[in-house]
Amino acid sequence: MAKLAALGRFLAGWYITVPLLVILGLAAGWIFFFNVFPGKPKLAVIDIPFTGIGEDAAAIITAYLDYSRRDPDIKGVVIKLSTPGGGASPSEQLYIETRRLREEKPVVMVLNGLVASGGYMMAMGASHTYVKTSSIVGNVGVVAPAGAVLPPTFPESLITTGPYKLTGSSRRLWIATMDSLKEAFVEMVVQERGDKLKMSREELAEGRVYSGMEAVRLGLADEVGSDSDAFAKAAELAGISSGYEIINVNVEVNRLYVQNLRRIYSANDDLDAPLTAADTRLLQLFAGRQSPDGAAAAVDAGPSFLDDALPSPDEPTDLLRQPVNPVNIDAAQRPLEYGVFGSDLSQTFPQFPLEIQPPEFYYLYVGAAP
Amino acid sequence: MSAPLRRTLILLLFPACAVALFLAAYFFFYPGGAGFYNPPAAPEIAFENLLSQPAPAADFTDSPVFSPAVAADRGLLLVDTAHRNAFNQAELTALLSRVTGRGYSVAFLDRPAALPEQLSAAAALLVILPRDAYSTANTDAIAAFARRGGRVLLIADPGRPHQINALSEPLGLSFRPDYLYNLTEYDTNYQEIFVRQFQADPITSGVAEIALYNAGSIESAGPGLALPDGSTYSSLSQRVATGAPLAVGDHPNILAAYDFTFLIPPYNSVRDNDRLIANIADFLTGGQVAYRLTDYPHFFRGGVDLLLGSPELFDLSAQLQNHLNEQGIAAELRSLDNGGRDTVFIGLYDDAPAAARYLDALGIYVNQAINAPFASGLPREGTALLSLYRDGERDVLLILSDTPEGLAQTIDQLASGDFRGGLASDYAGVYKTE
Repeated sequence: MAKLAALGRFLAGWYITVPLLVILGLAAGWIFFFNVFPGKPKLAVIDIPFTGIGEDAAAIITAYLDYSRRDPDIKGVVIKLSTPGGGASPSEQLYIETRRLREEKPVVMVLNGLVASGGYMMAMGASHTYVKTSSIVGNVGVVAPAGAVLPPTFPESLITTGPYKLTGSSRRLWIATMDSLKEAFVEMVVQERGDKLKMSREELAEGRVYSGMEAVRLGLADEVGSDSDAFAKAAELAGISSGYEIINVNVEVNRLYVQNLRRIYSANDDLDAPLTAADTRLLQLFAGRQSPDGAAAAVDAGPSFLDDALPSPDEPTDLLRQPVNPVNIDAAQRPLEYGVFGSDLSQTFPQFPLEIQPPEFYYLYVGAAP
Repeated sequence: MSAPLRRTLILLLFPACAVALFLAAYFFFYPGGAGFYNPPAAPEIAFENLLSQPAPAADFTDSPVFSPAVAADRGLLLVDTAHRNAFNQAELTALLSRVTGRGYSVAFLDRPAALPEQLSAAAALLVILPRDAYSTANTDAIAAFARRGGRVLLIADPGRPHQINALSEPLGLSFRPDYLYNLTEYDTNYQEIFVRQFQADPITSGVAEIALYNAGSIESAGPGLALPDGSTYSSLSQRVATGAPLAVGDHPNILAAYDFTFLIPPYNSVRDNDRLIANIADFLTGGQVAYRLTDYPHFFRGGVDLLLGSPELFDLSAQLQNHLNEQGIAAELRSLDNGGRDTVFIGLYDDAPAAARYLDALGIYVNQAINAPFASGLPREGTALLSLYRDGERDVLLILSDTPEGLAQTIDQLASGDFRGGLASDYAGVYKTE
């Protein structure tokens, strides 16, 4: 007891108590700051390599943007973008999602290489845009295939309830609709760029592409700069210092995605379990996208097929680069999330007497030679 | 310092250090002290104000200059389909209905080689988007046709393939490889331009504004009729368009339009397009072709009277009557010249005084010998004479020979077309008979 009492007196001594409390206090402040309160700020980077914006790409990029928006530690987002644009609806979705993210966090975009049409529309959602002098930017407008021309009178094998039941519109109205979309695109740029824009609506509607330096001169982009400039700008807009941490959102989202895939398939990991009809169908869907022979091989391989098909969670991959072999992530994702939705309509309705062609508008730069 | 106070101060070290580190970290990572993003105001975009509305259809009632009931078969419009022309006939409904409403019939050229022959039957020619180039011979035939009063309309469209310049350039019209556009004012697309400036001309009479849906510019020897305004650009020059989408060639009978779509329903009913189409139909049906003897029998319109120099030649009149009927021309034997209808006179040289008024007008005199502007002293024996008298109202074909056999032989030459080889002028020819 005497020894314990002596130890207590020793610890109660100021030369022990004071440093101990200082250390504990600093530790508590550290823990509170980095784990409870804002903590060390993070900037997210989203890398979108040269990609056509279709529905799949838009879904993936939306997931990146959503992740960046939901993570409270992320104080700003840098998007490295290169795309010729794509479908009108997916492109507009990315504009809306980027704009929504901008309302919560600064979004700084680096327009690398070609950022045209629907890609440029997405860039309108950013807080600040950087271009390289060699970037190609612009191409505001809409392109759409004319589609098959139906005969002036329909065959007897087809009965419709209205003059536009098949076409949905007259050609003139269809072109007018297309022009409305162009006007909306132009208006979007005019409003988003505001006073920075140094060109008329008519010039904008010409659909030209501009070099990066010309885009800055005309107010289509904010500055010439690189990735490091973008991070500095994002930090400035977020009100944080240079001591930020950078999160690669592509990797984080893919890690979560692969983990989810493995969790979903954990019930089928028993290699000895017989394949159900649903399993067989799913495997066929995966492999059928790769090659006609793949479906049979997948069924023969059984559930272990997934081990070859999916990456390890420890080796996250980039969805946009799709490196997984033999079944890439995208091929797995579609049937998983949507089942057979979105499959070829001509296969769904084989008896229909006309070729079914869903009309589509594109915000797309096709890069035709001038 | 008392012991309790000292203990209190020592115990405050813990929160003080915690707060100090927190503040230090905070101001290090968030130098402004705020650390929060102030988003800019998001602009409101009034998309609902951006809807494009196509120009409404305009009511138009066509008033043909001629009633088809009164003047049916006034002429023939020949439409080229022999050069892989890039259109289908349904697209011509608006124009051809007006042409036929003006008493014209329509025929389609199916072989390039048949052009000269079929052109001899026509009063107007329509060439749309030929994808095969015209031969020099056919181009020359068309130029001659226009000079003789035939009306020629050339149509191309920047949106469809064509080789119309091979034909049009010798006629004083060059279709430029461009399209016209207007980014300031248009119908539903920047290539759908409005034109409001026109050169005074029957073609543009009553036309105040037309809408062209895929127009290009024409450089022409004649005047441009439809003139784009200062905000309409040429895709080729990237400058204000200088060429006209509607122009006249090196002869007033040659008209060119560098837009096909304005003829096609429903575009034909926008603005004054229908009126322009009606005017074009008037143009096509308003020509007066100066037919020559070589154009036999196409200069005959409606019925033809057959007059005989003597009753003995009745069999010959039946022979000619059959031939004309095969050509779709109604021929009736008459005993008297009523002076108002197209006529064929068949007679021996001795019957020439009965046709003297026509022969004299042509400068042809049949006495002991035949004297004509192209030759004098031609023998009567073993010869036959063909001549065509025209006074603008009627055509009179004269067939004379020294014997009935010579007449029969000449009528055979008419039917076979061989007579064209022996013409001494546009209106007369003398042939040897056996």
